[in-house]
Amino acid sequence: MSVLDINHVGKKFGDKVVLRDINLRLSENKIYGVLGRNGAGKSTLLNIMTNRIFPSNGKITIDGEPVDNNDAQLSKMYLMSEINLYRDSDRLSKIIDDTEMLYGNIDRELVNDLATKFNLDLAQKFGKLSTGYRSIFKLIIAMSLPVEYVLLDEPVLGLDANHRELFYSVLLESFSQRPRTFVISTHLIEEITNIISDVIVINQGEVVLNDSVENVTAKAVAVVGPTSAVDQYIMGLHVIGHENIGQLKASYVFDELPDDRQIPDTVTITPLDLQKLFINLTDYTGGAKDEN
Amino acid sequence: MEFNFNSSEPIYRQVADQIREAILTGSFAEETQIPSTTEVSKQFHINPATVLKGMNLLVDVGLIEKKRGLGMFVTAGAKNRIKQQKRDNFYDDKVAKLVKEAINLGISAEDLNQMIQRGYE
Amino acid sequence: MKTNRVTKYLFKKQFQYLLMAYAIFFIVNTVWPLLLALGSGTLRYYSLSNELGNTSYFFFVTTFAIAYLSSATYENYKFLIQNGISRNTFFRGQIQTTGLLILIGSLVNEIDYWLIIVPIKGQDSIYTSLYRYFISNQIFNGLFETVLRILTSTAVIVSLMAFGSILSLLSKRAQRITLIAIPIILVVGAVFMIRLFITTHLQVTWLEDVFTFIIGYSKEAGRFNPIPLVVTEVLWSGFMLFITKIFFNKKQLKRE
Repeated sequence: MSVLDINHVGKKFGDKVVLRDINLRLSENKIYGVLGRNGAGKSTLLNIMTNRIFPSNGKITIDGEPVDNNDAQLSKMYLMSEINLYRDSDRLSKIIDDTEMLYGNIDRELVNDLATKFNLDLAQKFGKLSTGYRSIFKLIIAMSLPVEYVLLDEPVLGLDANHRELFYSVLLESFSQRPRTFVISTHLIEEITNIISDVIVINQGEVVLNDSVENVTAKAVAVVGPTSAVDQYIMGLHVIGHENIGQLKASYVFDELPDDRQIPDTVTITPLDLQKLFINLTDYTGGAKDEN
Repeated sequence: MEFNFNSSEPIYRQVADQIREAILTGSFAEETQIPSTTEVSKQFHINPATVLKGMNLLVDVGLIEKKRGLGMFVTAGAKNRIKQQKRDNFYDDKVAKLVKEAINLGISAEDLNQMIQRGYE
Repeated sequence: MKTNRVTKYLFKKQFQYLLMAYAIFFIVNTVWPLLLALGSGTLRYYSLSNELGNTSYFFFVTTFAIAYLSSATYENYKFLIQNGISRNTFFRGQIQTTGLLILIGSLVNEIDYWLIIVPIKGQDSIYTSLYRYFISNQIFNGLFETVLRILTSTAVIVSLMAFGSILSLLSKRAQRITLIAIPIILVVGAVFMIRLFITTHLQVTWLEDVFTFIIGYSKEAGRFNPIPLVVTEVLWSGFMLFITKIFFNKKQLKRE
């Protein structure tokens, strides 16, 4: 069993607090979705996890061993990031060779297979690739390395719909064949809802949700009906947002519904999808933050 | 198979329902192999653990069985059992709802009977 | 061990650049004058040995090319951290690489010096002008000269590495400002000091003392001893290496 722990990690850039006291445990063979609005601190956290930048507080460990300045732990991870750390002047085939040497291994067969599927010519120079193909190239490397943690920051950036579909298929096939831990940070929530097993929501530098998708979607519902009936029903429940349409009210609840409470005939309860839940959890301009 | 991801049903139940439906229509014939977890996962972009959970629902009730090293197979007699289940639930699932809606619309029992008759012709 | 893999990665790249630097300077110093001579019709004045013996440019090329390759570390850092290599391992790999390059470069320097410059112009270096009377044995004398040249080259390289390791922590903008500001400050500072000495007749005997000690001049003996210089260069290189290591360990991805 391999676990990655994020212990009390905080990060400041100057006076700006980007992350405050993040505590997470990533378990083996799960697919995590890390969701957060722009600037929520997702990329910063991924960069700290892979020792690319230093945290202001706290530490990252894999199986209890700190990753800081530690080749053995660092080489258990590959972070595909939005920013490019490869040289523009290097050919893709050379990058693959060097990557193989430094990681000790790479699945050549898979690299070639994926390059064919995505129609990527490996004789090209990295700098000549479009944004979409840079993403594709980095994804191919990420899938083919013998790492235990594949961290993907905005993996489908610049990919068209066909390539996104292909990528999700490739990801799931690769995961089935060789289970390992994936962490996917993305804005395209609907596309990954059924792919991920666990969801982590980061809002303004804090973890506001960390649970399995099954638990989360079971707890997230919309209660719709006449305002008074809705208000009566949701009393005491954890409400994360609401909308009013005339006399109708829709309240978004994130809680276990009480068995003993009668649902009024005028009220309907429907499940909330992950995207809607996310929007309500991270809406810091409106209703959801009332209670704080 | 088709999945309606906006449905209120959890995905693993939808997986089970879809396989049940496919057995009923004969798409998955008895004693033949159904697609693997990986294949379903890959094609419909569903986490393999979720797919497996859905399949296990069917294994538990004996509609499909796991053959070691080969995969999942539809059991003999599965189609009839599904049909029987659906019949058993037909009143609760369909008729009760239909009658409730008919009452709301002011359709009399006689008129409803006539409509049903028409449907059979 | 990952260190050797990192060394292999860095060496392959940096060795190529070193060869390229030699090629460029060889062309600029010997082929280019030949082409000029051909063009201007003054070919009879062109002499290969003259051009070759003119300066010991190989020493400068070796020193500054290696210094540059060992100091420009950020691009390598980016690639290595992407591939799960720690800062410590990168540091060790770079030191091994720099060491190898210094060995190769010094070999080139010494071949250039003993087989080309000395036969053409005779033994003519800062070393010989200061220390040639310290050891009477010609062979030991030559050996000392070689050792001192390698050490000097190393000291310069490691110093620039330390400087580069600090510089690489800065943003591109701050790097540019630093690179422009430092020469200006040095020149202004030097001018100011010189004027200060001239106008006030300031006596800085301690500075003179330190300097004479380092170059190993003794009034009593009336000659120069190279040992203090050797020791100083070794200590200096060690100190600079220490600085380099400290700042290598502070490397992180910049927000650009």
